[in-house]
Amino acid sequence: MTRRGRLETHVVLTAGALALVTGLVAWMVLSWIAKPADLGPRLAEVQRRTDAAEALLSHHSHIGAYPIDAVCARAAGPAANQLKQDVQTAAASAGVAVGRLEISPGVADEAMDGLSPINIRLEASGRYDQTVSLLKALARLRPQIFVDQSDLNAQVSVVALKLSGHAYCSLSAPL
Amino acid sequence: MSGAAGLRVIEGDGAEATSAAAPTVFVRTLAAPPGAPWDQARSVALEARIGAPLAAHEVYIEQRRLERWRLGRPARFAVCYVRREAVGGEYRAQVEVEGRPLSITFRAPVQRGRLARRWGLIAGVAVAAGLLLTGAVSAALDLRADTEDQLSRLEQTAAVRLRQAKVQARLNDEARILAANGAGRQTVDGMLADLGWIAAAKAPGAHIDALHWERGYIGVEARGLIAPFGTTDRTVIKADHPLRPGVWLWGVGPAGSATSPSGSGSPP
Repeated sequence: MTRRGRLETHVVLTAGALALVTGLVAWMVLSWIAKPADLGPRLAEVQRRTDAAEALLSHHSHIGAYPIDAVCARAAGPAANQLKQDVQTAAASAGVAVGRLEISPGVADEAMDGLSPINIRLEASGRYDQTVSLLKALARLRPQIFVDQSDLNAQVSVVALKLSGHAYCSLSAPL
Repeated sequence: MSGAAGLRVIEGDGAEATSAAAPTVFVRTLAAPPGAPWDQARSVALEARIGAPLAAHEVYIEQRRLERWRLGRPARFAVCYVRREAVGGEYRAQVEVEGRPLSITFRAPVQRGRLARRWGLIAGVAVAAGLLLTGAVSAALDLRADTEDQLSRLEQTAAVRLRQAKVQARLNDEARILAANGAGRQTVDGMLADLGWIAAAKAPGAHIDALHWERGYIGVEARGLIAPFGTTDRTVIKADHPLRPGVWLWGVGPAGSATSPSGSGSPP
């Protein structure tokens, strides 16, 4: 090989190496540009949330026995006041006369792990159909009313209703 | 064009300048009026050709700007000539203009063309590389934006899914607690269903004075000895003794509690 030939080979090899290094550097720079700076931590957070959701769902099989708002997700005091207003409104709509209405926060029971009770005591009177209308309205109220016991006494032209029960609020933070 | 200096003769640089064969370089200075740099250079080139000491095809002409270009100011150029036949394809000379040394390279038109092609090629490659780089960076930025969008959607989906899972877990926990405490038999809907059953099952002529409902069990105060209910899909039992004269207490079990047509059971 002549001196010129060796020189050309050397130049070609150098240019090739330079092009390779340039391409590599360009690829690294472009990869760096194309990737959001916090991609790793954000993906890790997504993974953590997904894992947490799957773990929760796997440990809590679906029961679905009660509506999503059966238990209120706020403090029992304000919820009791609201429920009292709702019951009065329902009674007025049904045309039932309310003789006694006590709705107040109760003492949390250990058996009701995490649920704070609202005590309900209602005495009302009206025609049978009006009383049934009131009960239907009570069934739709939220938080849901659970009846401990109830008495219906037929009087001359009306029915006297006595009802005692509870509603519940969750002590856990609202989601 | 004005300010042309007189033609001076300068010998070639270094050892060549001292030898008898060194080509002679003619130098003159020309002034160009204020204008764009390329216009100034072009006018000087024209004047250099017109004022050449020999015919244009007999000399190589090179020109150098002596001062930096400034807006609205005239420029001065050094114009150098050398006879073509005295030099080969390329000739380098060191000249002195206004006390400053100046390095001049004269090239034959063929060499100039080759040099121009080389610089053209370099410029073309540079432009292509620039375009390629711009396109690559643009594509990378697009990819980054797409990745950001996908990541945001993924984060939102994960957040919603976790929130739903927490809600579901809370609901299930609450449902378990309520179920463990028998709340399933305490709903107002259940009570209404039982009242509906009583209305439907009430025997003709039966006279019910009062009802006591508790967790799906019903105590019925009815007048007379005849059973107040005609149907038998629930357990209905009668108390042994009347509550009051002529008024008997009947116990009714929850829905589906009847085990036989005559049924038996015990209310709470």
